[in-house]
Amino acid sequence: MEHSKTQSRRERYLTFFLGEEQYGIAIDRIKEIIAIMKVTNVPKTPEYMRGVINLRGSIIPVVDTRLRFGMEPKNEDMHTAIVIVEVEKVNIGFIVDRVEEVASIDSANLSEPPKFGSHVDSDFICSIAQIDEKVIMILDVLKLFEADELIGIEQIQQTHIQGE
Amino acid sequence: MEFDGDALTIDLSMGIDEIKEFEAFVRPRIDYIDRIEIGEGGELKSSALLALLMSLKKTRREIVIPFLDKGEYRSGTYGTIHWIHYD
Amino acid sequence: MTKQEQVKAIFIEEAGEIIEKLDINILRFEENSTDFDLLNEIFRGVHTLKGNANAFGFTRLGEFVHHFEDVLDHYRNTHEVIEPEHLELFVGSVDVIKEVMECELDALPNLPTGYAECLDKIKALMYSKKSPQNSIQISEEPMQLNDLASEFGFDDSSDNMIVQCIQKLQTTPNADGACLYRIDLTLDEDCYKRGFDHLLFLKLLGERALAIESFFDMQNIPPLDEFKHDENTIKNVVILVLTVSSYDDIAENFEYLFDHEYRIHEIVPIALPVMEQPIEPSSPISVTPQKEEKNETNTPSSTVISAKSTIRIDTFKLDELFDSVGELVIAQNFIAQNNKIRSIEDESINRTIETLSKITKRIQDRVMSLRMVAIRDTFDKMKRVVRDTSKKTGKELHLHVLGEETEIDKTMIDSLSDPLIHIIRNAIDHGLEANAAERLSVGKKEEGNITLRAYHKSGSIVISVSDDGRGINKEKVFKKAIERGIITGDENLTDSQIFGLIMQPGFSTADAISDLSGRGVGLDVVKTSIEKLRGKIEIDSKEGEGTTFSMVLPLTLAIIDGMLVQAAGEIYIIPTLSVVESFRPERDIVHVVKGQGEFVSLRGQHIPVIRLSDVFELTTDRIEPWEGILVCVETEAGRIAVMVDELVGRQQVVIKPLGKALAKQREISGGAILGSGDIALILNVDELRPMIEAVHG
Repeated sequence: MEHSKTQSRRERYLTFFLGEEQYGIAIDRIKEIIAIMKVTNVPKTPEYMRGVINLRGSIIPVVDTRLRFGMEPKNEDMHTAIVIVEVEKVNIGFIVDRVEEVASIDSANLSEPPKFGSHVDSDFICSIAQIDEKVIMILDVLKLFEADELIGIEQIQQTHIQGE
Repeated sequence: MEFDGDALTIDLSMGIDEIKEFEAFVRPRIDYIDRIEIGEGGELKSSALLALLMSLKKTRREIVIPFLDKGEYRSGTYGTIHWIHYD
Repeated sequence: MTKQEQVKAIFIEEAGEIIEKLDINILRFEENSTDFDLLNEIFRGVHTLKGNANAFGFTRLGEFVHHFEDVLDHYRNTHEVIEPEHLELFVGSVDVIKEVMECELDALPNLPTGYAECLDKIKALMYSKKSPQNSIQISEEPMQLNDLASEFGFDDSSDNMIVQCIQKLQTTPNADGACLYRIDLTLDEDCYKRGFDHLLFLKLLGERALAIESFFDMQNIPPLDEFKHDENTIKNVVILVLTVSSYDDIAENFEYLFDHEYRIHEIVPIALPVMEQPIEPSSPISVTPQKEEKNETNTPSSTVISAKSTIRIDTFKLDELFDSVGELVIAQNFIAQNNKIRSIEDESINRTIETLSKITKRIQDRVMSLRMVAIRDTFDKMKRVVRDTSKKTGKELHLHVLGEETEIDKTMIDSLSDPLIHIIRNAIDHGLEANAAERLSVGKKEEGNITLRAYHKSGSIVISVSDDGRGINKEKVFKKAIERGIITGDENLTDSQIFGLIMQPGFSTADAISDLSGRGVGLDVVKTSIEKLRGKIEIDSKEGEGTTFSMVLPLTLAIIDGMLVQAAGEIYIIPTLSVVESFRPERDIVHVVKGQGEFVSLRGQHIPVIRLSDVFELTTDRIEPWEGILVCVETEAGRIAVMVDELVGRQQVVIKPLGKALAKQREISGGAILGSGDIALILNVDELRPMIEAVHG
C-alpha cells in the first residue's frame, strides 16, 4: 500500500443520505443537526436556496441540497433534517434526506474523486471513502460556500493557511 | 548574575562594588537586554542598585524590569519603600 | 497578544479617549478661561497621559506633555489670568498632542510640524513664570497636612499616596506611646561618599519602629550615559516612621547628613479638610464645604469631586446583552399572544403575564439606554469643525447648538461624525454668503449663523444643520438635474425632492471647486452613509434665507418599528418610518394605464401601485386592489402604494441580518423574528420603485 506523506489518521465525518447516495462532512464543520422546520422563503433567490430559518433567535439561510446538486426535489418526511454547517463564522443549513451516523474514516481509505459520473459537481467533492461496500462522498464545504458566494475567497485562503 | 539570551537575572543584595561591576557589564549591552529579573532570596542592600535599575529603565524604556514595575519594595528591614516620579 | 501588548492596547485606547476629551475641554476653556475646575480636569488628563506615555516608550509625546503639564499646573495653582495668545497656544498644543500621538502609534520617525515651535513657546512661557523654589527651612513645628506635599513639587498622585499613608499609619492599632514622624530628605550628590545610604538609614530608623514607609523620588536619576554609581541621584525622599523612639534618638541618625539635607516633623493628627464637615445648624451662612477648602488651602490634594462611578464595558458584551434582551422580548411576546395560554382564562395567570410583559419592557428600555449617549460630545467635536472652517473660509459666524442632551445609540455615533462634518462644512462654505459685504447688501448681519440641533421625533432622532445663507435656487437645481440626466423633467416632484436632487451622484452647482467640499460633490456619499444607518436626509431651503439639512435616524440600529403586512401567505414588515397611510381603495380611484401599470389617485396625486406578489414573483390568486390593502409609503423616488392582502399589526422588532448570501437582495433589508417564532422579511421600500419599470415595462 502506498504511504501518503502525512501520517495515516482517522478523521470523523458526519454522513447523510440524499436519495441512494451517501455523503460526508468533516465533523469539525458541523455546528448542529435539527429536524426540518418551517423555512421562510426569501424571494428572488436561486431555486436551491430554500429560505431562512429561526435558530434560537438567529436567522440562518437554508439550502435545499438535493436541488443544489441537481437532483429532483423530494417531499419531507420524518427523517428529513437540516445540517447546520459553520465556516468562518458563517452558518448555513443544508437540508438532507436522512442523517446516518458519525463515521470514523481512516485517511488511507480516502481516494481522489472521479471527474464525472455523479450528481454532484465534482468540484464539491474532495475525496471518496470506500468502506466495505459503501461509497461515501466527502464534501468540500469551503468550495460549496465559496461557490454560493457565502464567504469570500480571502477567507478561504485564510482557512487553508491556518491548516485544516 | 545570569544572562540567558536577552534576559538578565541579578541578585538583589549587591553591595556597592558589585553594583559597579554590574553597571560596567550592562553599559555595552544595553541595547540587547530585554528583561531584568531579580533572583530569589535576596534583600536589597544599597540604594545605588535601585538608582541603577531606574537609570537603565530611563535609558531604554523597552527593557522590562518587573521589580521596578511594582512601584514598591517591602521588607522587614526597610518597611515599605515606594518609588515615585519614575515616568 | 502578550500581556505587555494587551496593556499597551488599553493604554492606546485610553489615551485616545483622554485626547478626545482634551480636545473638547480646551475649546470650552477657550470660551471660558476662568473655569479653573475645567482647567484642573484638563491638567489631570494631560498628567495621566504623561505618565502612561513615558511608561510605554512614547517619549516624544511624553516630553511634550511633560512641559505642557508644567504650564497647566502653574496656572491651575496660581489662578492667574491667561492671556488670549497663551490660550491659543494651549489649543495649538492639544493639536500637537493629537498629531504626536499618531506619529508614535504609526512609529513615524519625524515629528509633526509645529511640534518644535509649540514646545519652545511652552518652555518659554514656563520659564517666564517659574519663580525660584523657596529654600527649605528647618522647622520643628507640627505641620498642617495641607502644606506637606507642596514643597517638593510632588504631583497629585504622589501627594495622595503620602497623605493616604499618613492616614493609614495614624490609625495603626496598638500604637500607644508611638509617634508618627515625617522626615524629608534633600540629599546632595556626594552623600554616598560620606557613608550615607538610603537603605542603611531606613534600617536604623526601622529598628525601633512599629512601621516605616518611604517614598523615593526617582525623577533626577539620569540615563545610563550620565549615570555614576557612586553619586547619589535619589535626592528627595519622604520617610514616615511610626516609632516609640524619641525625637533625639531619631536625630542621631542624621550624623552623616548636612543640616540642609534633612528635616523632621512630628505629625499631629488633624481632622483632614478634605472630608465634608457637617454644616452646623446654627450657622447662618450656607456654605459649600468643598469650594471653601479649595480656596484656602491652594493645594491639589484637597479637591473632592463626587465623580460618577463608572465601569468600562466591552461593547461586544453589550451587544450580546442587547441580543439576549431582544430574544427575551420575542419569547415574552410569544407567551402573551399564545392562544392556548390565553384560553386558560385564569386571572392570576393573566396578571402574571402582564407583569412579565411590563418587566420585560422595562429591561428592554434600560438595556437600550445603556447604549444611548448624549450627542453632546459629537456636537462639541463639531464646534471644533465650525471654528476651523470659519477660519479657513474667513467667514465670521456664530454657532448655535440646541438639544445637546438628546440621546443617540452609541453605535451610531461614529458613523455620524463624517457626514455631519461634511454637511457643516458645506453649509459654511456654500450655504453662507461669500463675505460679510454680500450679507450686508441683502440686509443680513455680518456674522453668519449656523444652528446645530438634535431632537427626538416619533421614534427617530433628528439632527439638523441650518444656515441663514443664500438658500438653494430650485429652478437652477431642476435645470441642472435635467442637464445631467438625473431626471427627465416630467416627474411630479415636490420641493423637498428637488432639493434632494443635489445629493445625487454627479451633481454640482458650484462653478468653482473649493477644497473643503464642492457643493454636491460628496453629498451623495453623505446620503449613502446616512442610508446605511437606515436614516434619511431631508433638505429644506428658502432662497435668500437659508437652508436646513436634517438627518433623520432610527433611535437604534437594531430595533425597528414596523408595520406587519401579509402578502401571498407570507408576512413582511414595512418600516413605519416610511409609511404615510394605509387604506382599502375604492374601485373608482384605481386606474390602469396601458404600458405603465396600475395607479391610484389620491388627493390629486397619482400613486403607482406595487404588488408585492409581483415584486417577489409569488404565486398567489390575483386580487384587485380594492380587494386588498394599499400601504402608501414615502420612498426617495416618491410615493408608492404597496398592495398587500391584509394588515397584520404593528410592533417593534429586532432586526436580524440575513447572512451574506441573502444580503444581496436589495428589496429586503433584513429579517425579524416575530413572537410566533416565524421570520418576517423587512422590506426596503426604496428599492421597490424600480420594480414599476421592470414589472410594467
